[in-house]
Amino acid sequence: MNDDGRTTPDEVPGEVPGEEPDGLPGDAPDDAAFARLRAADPAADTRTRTGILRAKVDAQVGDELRAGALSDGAPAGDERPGDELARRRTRRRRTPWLAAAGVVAFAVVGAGGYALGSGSGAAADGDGGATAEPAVALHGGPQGGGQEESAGGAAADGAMGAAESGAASGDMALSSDVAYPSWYSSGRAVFHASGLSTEDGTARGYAFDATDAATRAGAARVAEALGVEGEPRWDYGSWSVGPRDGRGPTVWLSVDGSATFGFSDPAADPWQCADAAAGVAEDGAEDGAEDAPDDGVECPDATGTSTVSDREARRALSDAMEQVGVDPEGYELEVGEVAEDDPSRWVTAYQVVDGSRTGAQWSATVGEAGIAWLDGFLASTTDLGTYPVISAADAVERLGDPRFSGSVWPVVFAESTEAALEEHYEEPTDPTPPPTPPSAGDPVDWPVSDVEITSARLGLAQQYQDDGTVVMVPAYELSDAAGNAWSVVAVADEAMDFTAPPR
Amino acid sequence: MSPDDLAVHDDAHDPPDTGRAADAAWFDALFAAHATAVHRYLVRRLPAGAADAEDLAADVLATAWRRRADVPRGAELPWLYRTAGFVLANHRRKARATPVAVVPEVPDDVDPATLAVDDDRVRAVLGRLSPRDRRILLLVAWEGIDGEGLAQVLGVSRGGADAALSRARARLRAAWDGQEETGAQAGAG
Repeated sequence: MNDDGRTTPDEVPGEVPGEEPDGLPGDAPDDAAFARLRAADPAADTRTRTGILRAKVDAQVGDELRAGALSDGAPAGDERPGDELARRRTRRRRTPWLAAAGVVAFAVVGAGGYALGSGSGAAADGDGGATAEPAVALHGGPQGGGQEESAGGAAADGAMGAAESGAASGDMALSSDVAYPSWYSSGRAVFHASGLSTEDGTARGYAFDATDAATRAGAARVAEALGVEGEPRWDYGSWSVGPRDGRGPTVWLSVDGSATFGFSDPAADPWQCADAAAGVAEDGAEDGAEDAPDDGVECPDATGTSTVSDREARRALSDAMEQVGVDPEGYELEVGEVAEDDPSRWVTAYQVVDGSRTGAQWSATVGEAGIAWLDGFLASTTDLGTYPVISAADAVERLGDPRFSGSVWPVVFAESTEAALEEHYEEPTDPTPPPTPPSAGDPVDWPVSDVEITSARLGLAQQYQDDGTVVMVPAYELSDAAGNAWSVVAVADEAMDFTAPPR
Repeated sequence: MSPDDLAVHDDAHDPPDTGRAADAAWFDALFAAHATAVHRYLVRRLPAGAADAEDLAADVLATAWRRRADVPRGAELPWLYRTAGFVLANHRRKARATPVAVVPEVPDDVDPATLAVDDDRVRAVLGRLSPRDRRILLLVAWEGIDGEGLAQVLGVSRGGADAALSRARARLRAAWDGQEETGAQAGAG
């Protein structure tokens, strides 16, 4: 495989001895036509801009992906299906993909917070003094202007400010709530610092080193540690161990900068989804209809509420981490609450370095029979040393610098903003007249909001570099008085490489 | 409720959902493992230099997130390819404003007329194959998937996929040989 992770036909598992004993049907060595077809691969020199691609995905579903529970958090009666309000609610906490801090409990106790061990509670109530700084979320890519719709039919909930403003103006009644932030409709803003430090400083950066972990041997190690039988095979761009049909425990390991890996054990999966999916795959007729993928791979509804305790769930994840050689002491573990009729518990381990969450995490789905799903990363964390860091006041300037700012949208919405936004969208009841047309010479309307930043927090943000490596860099989370927060990388210009990759 | 629960859920206005967090971790892993493959799948099937591949790849991956309950764990990539086929077919349909009534049941996600292939002979031969044969052959030749993976993309049994591939390859050879003769005649004339 190439360093960009692509698979070439010569490396496919179908040609690994023992996997596909008979080779490809009709794979005659003298098949010149097929060889020529292979050689004509138009993507041979394609370079995928994964960072930008991810930003585009997040622009479609980023909020959903990062928002945390919407239905659980919504007051009763707030969920009229399909209404604008419900859609807006999905924007509650805009934490794009570099954040990965799914549960952010703001009990900031200053640097020096410490990782919790597997047996302790996730003291998020602030009296324990043991909660790390949350990771800072950086906007993942360029501002996306016009994703009006997506293939899945859902509206582009994550479309950024500019696209938003058009939709917001016409068809919705405005309320007079003073807490409603003007940037929400304008989609444009300038930022001013108020009372922030003008002192430059330094802060440590970190990186992942996946060279030992993201290998065939690494896949074999993690498989053995988790009791998955079989030899690693190169499977669609990652190393896989275990049966391909998902009917037994499997491990896969991605050859990426974090050595991301996953483990699943259908025997412990309360939904037994893999079995259902595999059965459906076999039922299809040979030349049958090419149905949409949702036809069939429906997992049966699982019933019953989990009896796994918090302690057991936490222990399951920390044990698994220890089995594969990762010390859970470097993580904060949090267990999701017991959900009615959910036969599993969810546990997340947030990596903590130097008192800050890095944004990297492990997670596990724990059923009565143990871990059904496990996701994590195996790269080691290396210290990149000290970087010069700009002052908080300068960081606010960066919010207006297109080299750094991703969007006028905050990474964290204030509670009052959320409430205001929810009140803001009221269904119009009466017919409304068309807008009054502009007159000759009227100025062009171009609203720009003025945002005052009153507090700054320096933390770490996970950043995926263009070459696939992952770094954890100092970043500011900058908040206004209401609590809306924006983020920007904190490393000074002289320690940044602004060279754009050739394209 | 145990003290642990209370601790985790102190942030009352924003209750955490580690189920969602676990899903997000799964999606991050899926993205890390397969985003490049999905993008390349689309690059291969769009006109050379088309800027749409990245956007369509984003559509496919976003769909995987929305339909995460449907994505078979351990067989994500075949599902993604399958979905990419539909996304591409939708994209073509919109671009050409094809009446819905004439949309073929088998998505022709490989249009030889606009295929980003420099090898004219390969392009010509592909044009003589059925959409289904083209689809199968390119999945094997370019994506490098076969066997169970191919079966999953096509939504057929393993045996059916093997048979379909075998037939497609036979027809490719026949078309290639036919093209050879035509080409030779054209060159001679």
